[in-house]
Amino acid sequence: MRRRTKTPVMVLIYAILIIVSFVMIYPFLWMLFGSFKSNYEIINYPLSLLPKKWTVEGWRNIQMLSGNPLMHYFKNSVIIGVGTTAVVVLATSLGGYALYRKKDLPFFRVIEGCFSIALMYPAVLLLIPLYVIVIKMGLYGQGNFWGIILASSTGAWGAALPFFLFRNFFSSVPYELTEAATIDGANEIQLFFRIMVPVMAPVFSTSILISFLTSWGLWLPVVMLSQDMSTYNLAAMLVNLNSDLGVDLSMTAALSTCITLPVVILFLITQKKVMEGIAAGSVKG
Amino acid sequence: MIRDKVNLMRRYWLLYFFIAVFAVISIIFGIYPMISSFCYSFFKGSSVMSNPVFVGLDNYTKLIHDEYFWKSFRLTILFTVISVPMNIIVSMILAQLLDKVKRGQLFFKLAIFIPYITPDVVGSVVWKHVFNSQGAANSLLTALGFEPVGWLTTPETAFAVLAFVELWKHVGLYTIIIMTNYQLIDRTMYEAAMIDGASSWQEYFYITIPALKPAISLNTAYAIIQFLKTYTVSRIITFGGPNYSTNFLSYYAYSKYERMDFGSATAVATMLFILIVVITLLGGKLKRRGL
Repeated sequence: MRRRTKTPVMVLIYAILIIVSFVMIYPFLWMLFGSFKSNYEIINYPLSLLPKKWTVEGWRNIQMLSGNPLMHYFKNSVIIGVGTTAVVVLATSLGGYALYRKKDLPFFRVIEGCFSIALMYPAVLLLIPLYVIVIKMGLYGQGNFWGIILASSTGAWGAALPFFLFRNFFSSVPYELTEAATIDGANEIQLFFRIMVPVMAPVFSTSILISFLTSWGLWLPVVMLSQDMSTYNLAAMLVNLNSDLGVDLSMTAALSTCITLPVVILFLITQKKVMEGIAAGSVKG
Repeated sequence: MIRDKVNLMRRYWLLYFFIAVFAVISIIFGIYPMISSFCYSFFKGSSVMSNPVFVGLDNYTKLIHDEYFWKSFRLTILFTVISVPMNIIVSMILAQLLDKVKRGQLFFKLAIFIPYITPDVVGSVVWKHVFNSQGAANSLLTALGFEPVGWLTTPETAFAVLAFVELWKHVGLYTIIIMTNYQLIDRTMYEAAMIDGASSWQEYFYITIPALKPAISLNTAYAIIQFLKTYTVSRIITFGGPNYSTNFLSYYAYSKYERMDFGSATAVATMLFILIVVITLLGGKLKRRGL
């Protein structure tokens, strides 16, 4: 039994939602159509959405950025996105499991505490000391992605949500389940792979998706922990392009589209999982 | 005691392998840089990197007498005080509206949520051009017969634009969280209220809001931390200006960092961290009192 909303009210609700949705997707339309406009047109006809005269000028101009082909930066985005996702999921799934199995082990609570405190620290400013650490560890240099990937895998950037997802997942597994298996003589590795992994597929895929979506667009750790532009990803290049004087708008639009399209497509395919996962990681977080 | 612990460690030694990577990202790339950042704040400017010169609390005393720091401090708090309720209220309204519609609900939900998964730099860059003096926002105003506004050149409007862009970016997240929690509410309560003749406003204020309270307070806690750390929008859209009107603490510290003034950059960072911790603790206290 539900209340029925009167028709004029429903019309109003739809009107509001349509306006809100338009505002929300306006930037996407701006960049997509803008990438097929000339600079002159973007500047002089800011209100028209569709190009009056279609051109691929912007796309052609971004094919070569600061001496490297566009594909180079695209590849870097993939390397940083996949690498960060791998480290985040490995760390939070195994770490979350260890914390679930025996939280009382020496140092375990301390490690968890360190993770939680680092969440509150402004990530931007963590990068100053991280820069020093990365240099000291020899992870800084031309073509070296390790510093960028490890720094991006911390709670300050993308690891928070996957960690909460795994923690909530494990807390829903009854402790007796694993304890019973230890009595049968299974060790921790067997326990994890035989009992946990088979039921973990959904939470794994959600965490992988969310990590990838968040790490794809990272730019600050990339800019600060790169020795030169050889390790820049697309997002870092957009920041770079944007700080130049006399911004080229059709290039900006094309590059923005290029960064956004992969994640938007991935999200639209997996939207249910991503939205449910994000809500689930936050409900009890 | 220690014996017990050693025995425990011996029995579960394999678990230390499981936690190893997590420990690395929590300690080496988490707490350790935090502590070193704190330590840097007691050293002179750029000396940290080469030959550190210890200056004690100098960086902090300088900050206390720095009017830009206090302005930045006030702005950060003001931005948070405005943005948090705005995000929560708008997300609650959107969640209600979305709940009412059947046809097209998925489309609206996706439209509202999609900015959240969009790389932050892209959103900032595009909105920056929309609000430029000759951008779409002003053309729309002119077309409607209003005077154009210097969106990014007037302190108040620049501040408002950043608040809007942050709302655009994050409101979808909060809407989804509120909706998920809304769907968990026991429907029989609404039926009972309807039979008792309650109006929909009464239902909303006496059933929905109390039931959503945990989700709202969680969202608020997230939002407070997130808005106190606001950075990307001021870095990309306004560079802290005009006239320092969007010079939030994160950005202020970053600009000091860019000038190689690591000592005072990390001092600002520490102050911001203290602010976040104090507010989080206060929030926890209020929550325990049932507010």
